[in-house]
Amino acid sequence: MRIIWLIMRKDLLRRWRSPLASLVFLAFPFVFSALIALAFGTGGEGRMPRFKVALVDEDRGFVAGLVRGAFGQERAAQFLEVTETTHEEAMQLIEHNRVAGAIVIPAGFTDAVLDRRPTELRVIRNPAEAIGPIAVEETAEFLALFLEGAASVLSGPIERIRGLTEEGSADGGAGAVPGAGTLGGAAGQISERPVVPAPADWAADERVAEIAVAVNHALRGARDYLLPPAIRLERADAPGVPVLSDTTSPAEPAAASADDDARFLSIFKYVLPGMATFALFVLAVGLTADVFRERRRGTLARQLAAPLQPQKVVVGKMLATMGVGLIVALLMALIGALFLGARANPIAFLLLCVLFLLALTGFVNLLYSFARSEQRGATLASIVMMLMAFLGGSFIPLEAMPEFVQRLAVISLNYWAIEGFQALLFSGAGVAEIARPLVVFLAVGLVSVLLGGALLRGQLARGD
Amino acid sequence: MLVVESLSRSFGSLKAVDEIGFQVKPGEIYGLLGPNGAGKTTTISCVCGLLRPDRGTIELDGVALESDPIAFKRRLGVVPQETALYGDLSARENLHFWGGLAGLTGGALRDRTTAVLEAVGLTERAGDAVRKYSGGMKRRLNLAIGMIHEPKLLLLDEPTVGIDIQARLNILDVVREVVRAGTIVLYTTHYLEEAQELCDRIGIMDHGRILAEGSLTELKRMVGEGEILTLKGRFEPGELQSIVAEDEHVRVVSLEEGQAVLDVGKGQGEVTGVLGRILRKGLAVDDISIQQPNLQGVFLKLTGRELRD
Ligand SMILES: Nc1ncnc2c1ncn2[C@@H]1O[C@H](COP(=O)(O)OP(=O)(O)O)[C@@H](O)[C@H]1O
Ligand SMILES: [Mg+2]
Repeated sequence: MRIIWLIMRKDLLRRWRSPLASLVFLAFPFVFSALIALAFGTGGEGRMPRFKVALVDEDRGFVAGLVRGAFGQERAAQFLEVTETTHEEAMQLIEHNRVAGAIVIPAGFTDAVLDRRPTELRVIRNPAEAIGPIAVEETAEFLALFLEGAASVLSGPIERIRGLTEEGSADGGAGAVPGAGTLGGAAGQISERPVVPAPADWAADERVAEIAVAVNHALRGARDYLLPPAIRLERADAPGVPVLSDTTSPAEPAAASADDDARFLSIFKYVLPGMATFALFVLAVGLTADVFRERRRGTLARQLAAPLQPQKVVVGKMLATMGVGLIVALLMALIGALFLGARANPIAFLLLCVLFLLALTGFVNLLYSFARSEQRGATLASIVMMLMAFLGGSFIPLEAMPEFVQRLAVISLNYWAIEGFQALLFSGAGVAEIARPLVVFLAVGLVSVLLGGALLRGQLARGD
Repeated sequence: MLVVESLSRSFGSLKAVDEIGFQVKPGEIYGLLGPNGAGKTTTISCVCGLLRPDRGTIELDGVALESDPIAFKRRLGVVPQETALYGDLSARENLHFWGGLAGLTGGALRDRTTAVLEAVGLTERAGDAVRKYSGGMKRRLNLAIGMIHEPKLLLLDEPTVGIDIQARLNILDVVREVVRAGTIVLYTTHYLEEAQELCDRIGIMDHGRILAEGSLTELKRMVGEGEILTLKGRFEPGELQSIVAEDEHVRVVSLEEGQAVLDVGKGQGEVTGVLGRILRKGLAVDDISIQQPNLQGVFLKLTGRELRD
């Protein structure tokens, strides 16, 4: 026991020394929830219709070009149809109820972003529409954050890009296009990163900054404390437009925005179990890969040369991963409780988390013990992880999947976790009601630990 | 007493360690000297139970590694070739972890941590993350970890590779200190001087085999008092062979195109005599070196190659 405790404490201490690498996992559910909330918009009612939006570029600079480019990107294009107009035309379009809103890039925007001075993207909502303006605003907000993040992460490169574009615009203003490609790509990465990062570079500052920006977005309420925004989003309802819905009445702006938030948050809560499950999976895959790092650095061999049973090294490391996972799960629960008003039976929640983490770490450990190298281990684990996430309903609600997928779902650990978390969150379930997932996890956990131990012993006997 | 007998370990068809055997007494440093790839690390890995040998036995004071690995390992300290440390942790935390694994607890663990930190001169930096250490400091901590639990047998695998003189001298001093306390030390190196200075007995290792073994004096005696003459140039092996064939003072150690290593017999001036005879025959020699009978000479004589870093 002492040995296991020592090994676990050592790993926890190491994690504690570089907490960002572990906290990154906390960000995943939020990034994805935000994306899915955007994609599904109205929360489970299916896909949103495409909204029309007017874009007014009074800046015409290189960063403004990025914003224009971003609207053309696939994800935005799925629910937004953008027309470039002048300010006046935009107001007319809103008045005639032809667009859901307008985004105005003010003059001097590019310079302000590049100099990292505060600036704003203006969103003019069409108060006659209920949902459209939210989508427009969300997009604008994402953009603001991406640009902000990109500007701080890429401040060096930006200076160079700026040099290029200024030269470029000297010979005809075409310079904004390649620049837009570059930074637009960076922004796209933030939103489209469902795959696990290579274990080696979690702690890379860029990644951390990107994730921080994404988390920042998710934690709307807390964003001012996390990263003071450089680009402010100014919201305004167009005046003098007949109002169709009370909730967005310009006369009650406070109520309107509270309602928007409520809508956004309820969507968020709906996807949270799936995302949290996926996040814990990512965490298990990532942290368990530490065994490869220990192998590479010789610390694993050194431990095996100590007077101990080799399985204890594995168990100690598993417990440490479960510990970090539990902390992340509790943080997610805390955020869910504070921001989303999520409530669950605490004992059942804890039990579900612990057993899910046991099954996860045991299972991932087993996967890795089949892999000859870190590279192959990471590939194998990512594939299995994504497969389980899709099958189990982490990304897309199971009801939306073909029937044969739904039947296969039971082989996914995510499926059981989501079933458990949803029961806790939405049906006020206690331990008895989530007995099924608990038993599944316990069984998977025990079997994989035993099997993993046997495999390890075999490998050691062969001497590799 | 450490007794290793007919130890063999192959990787595929490569015989990394090939039927080696040696014994080391308490208070003795046994050096395994050999170039990279000689099989030193493989030997150490077998002795510390990380690699299962294909053949052979390893016993420490009568306890066979195979029969009771945990009891064996409890009396064993290892200083691996790579600095196997946790960079995020401080030296003290590293020592507490590794000392704890080795079986130390409570006050004993704290006392020993303080003692080894002092011995390797890291007391002042003990609280810093190891990540920030220089190569030499990491090597010293690597050594401190290996000896924290005062093991009966200490295995050191090239503990001074790639560090500054200061750190190296410190490490050698600490090892001498440990041996004085009656520890059995198995020390591998590819530095001749180190083996020469530090080790009581040396096994010269190449291609998985121990070619010769003994104290420095014994090894030197094996080469005789003769000197090693190395010739390089544009000559055919046959040419040289015919010149030295009848020379009773000369023994050919190795002979290949453009390079010959000759063992020239005892007696003052023999070398110059032999050299003169060779050069008078008009052999195209570009480079001549004469090696005194030291460890380098022994290695050269045994393998026909020089041992270089
Ligand atoms: N795990 C391994 N797999 C295959 N070959 C190995 C392995 N470890 C060592 N070798 C080979 O065995 C030989 C001896 O290696 P090693 O014991 O590390 O030598 P040394 O420590 O003297 O430099 C080398 O040829 C090396 O390439
Ligand atoms: Mg080696």
